Amino acid sequence: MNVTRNDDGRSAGRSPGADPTVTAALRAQYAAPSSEAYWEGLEGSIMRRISAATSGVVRELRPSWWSGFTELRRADWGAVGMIAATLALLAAGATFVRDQQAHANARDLAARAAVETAMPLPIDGTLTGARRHLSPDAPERYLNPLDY
Amino acid sequence: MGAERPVSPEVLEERELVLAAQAGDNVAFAGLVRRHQRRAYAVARAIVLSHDDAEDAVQEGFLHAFRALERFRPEQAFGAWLHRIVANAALDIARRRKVRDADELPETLSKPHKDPAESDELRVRLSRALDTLGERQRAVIVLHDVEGYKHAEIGAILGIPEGTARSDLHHARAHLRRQLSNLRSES
Repeated sequence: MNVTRNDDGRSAGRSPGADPTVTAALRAQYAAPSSEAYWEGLEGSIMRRISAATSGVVRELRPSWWSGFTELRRADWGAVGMIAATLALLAAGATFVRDQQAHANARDLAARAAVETAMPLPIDGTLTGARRHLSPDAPERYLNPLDY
Repeated sequence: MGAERPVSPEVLEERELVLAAQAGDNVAFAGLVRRHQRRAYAVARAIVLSHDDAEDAVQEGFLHAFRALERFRPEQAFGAWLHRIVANAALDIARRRKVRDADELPETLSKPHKDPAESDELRVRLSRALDTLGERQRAVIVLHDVEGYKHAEIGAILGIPEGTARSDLHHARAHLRRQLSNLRSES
């Protein structure tokens, strides 16, 4: 295949320290293909590679809004039913437990209210107060009421 | 403050291609590929050892450039930006190749894009001499002496200071001269 340098007017090989023989050998060694068909092919390969590499990303980043319906159509309805039944059972259980707790709380509150609102009995006060009102001769009055 | 340099029609045309490609026009990006693939190949070929690896590096480089196109500012030189990306892709391939070849037979001579029947003593010796150079020094001497890039341009492509490119070139030339000296004395 013919080869050529990628020379666009640069001063390759003319720098003072360069050895012309080595530079010539290097040029032969590193020469790029000169055929136009090669470059057209490479351009095609590059664009195909870009297209292949980026198309997957675009699909991944931008899912269509209707793709959810497709997934729903493909779904296994038996599995969906089982999941729904399990969820319903869990919800019912949770409601039952919550009701039981609510009733227990109400009972507790009622009992506490009954205890806290009741008046305390003034046991000592009642007794001493009653005695304070009795006169010292009360037993005598009780035993001989006609004398008073 | 100096006057602004007039922008050439080629640069304007390229800028339009870049803007169109950034807007999602793949035909415009194909136009950029057509314009730059030869020099991209030259940059890649200076770094890797074979034509096939250079081709791979060019394709990888354009793919990376396409993906990063949104971040490119159109007022910059597209070629310089692209060459840096292709050089990085080529360096990556060269490193992977080095690791792979470490377990295989030492058959990593530079493979030129020509019929093996055309090979001669100088080419074989040069290939061996180039293989003993570091990949950066080899890239520098090829980019400078074969492709005609200036030290500053080489520095920008390979991501090294201009002075390093200059010093690498000096060492690479001296190395090749030493390696090929007995060949000349024989002939």
